[in-house]
Amino acid sequence: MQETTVDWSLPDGARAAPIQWAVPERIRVGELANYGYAEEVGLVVELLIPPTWPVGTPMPVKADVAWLECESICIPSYATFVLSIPTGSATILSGDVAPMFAAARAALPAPTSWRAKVRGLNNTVTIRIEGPGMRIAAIKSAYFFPAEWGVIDHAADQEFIADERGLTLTVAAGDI
Amino acid sequence: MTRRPSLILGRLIVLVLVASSFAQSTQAETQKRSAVTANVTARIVVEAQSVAPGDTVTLLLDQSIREN
Repeated sequence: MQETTVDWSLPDGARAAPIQWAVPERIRVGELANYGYAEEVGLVVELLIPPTWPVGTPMPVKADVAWLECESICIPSYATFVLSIPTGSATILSGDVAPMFAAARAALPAPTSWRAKVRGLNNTVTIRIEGPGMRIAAIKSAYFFPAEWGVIDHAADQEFIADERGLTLTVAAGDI
Repeated sequence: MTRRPSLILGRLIVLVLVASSFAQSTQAETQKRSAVTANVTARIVVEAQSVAPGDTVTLLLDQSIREN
């Protein structure tokens, strides 16, 4: 499987940051599991306009985007986008799109000061999370989304236990 | 086997596409019929109507999929 990718063509000095992923869903397909999005997703990317770019001159942006569309099988899909970003002496946000961007940011994982300890033993990965401000009673579910394939068995259920000091997730280990 | 996020049609659910009311200069869009018998719309939207050189602007890659 392959995540959505963007190949940017930008003027010198312009830089696009990596995609900020929204919290995905775990989608079971038979005995397998995948992470992705149903219906609609907004992926956030920060783009730096070069300081030397002439004010008032639109900046061209070309993006070759590749993604997978899945039902029972997944197929690759591609599209090329060509944008022209207006520049000026000040950055002015567009009110029309504000709700869309607010929703996309709300879907991003939120950083936390909680500390996690991970231990692997006997084909099991145990993740212990503790930290200030944890309202244990308010936590109804928890799931560990790994950034890399193979760390855990993605299709296996994750056992979640909360106690007075934190929570523990127990996950079947993966192939690596 | 799993990987990091991708646009997934796990369930065929009718979508309501977001109405397009943005300036063409700050949005690019593509729409097509996919091999999974669904319509896919993908677009890139720019958060700002004007950006000062040296500033960072946020782009949104918005992807949606709906059953035909």
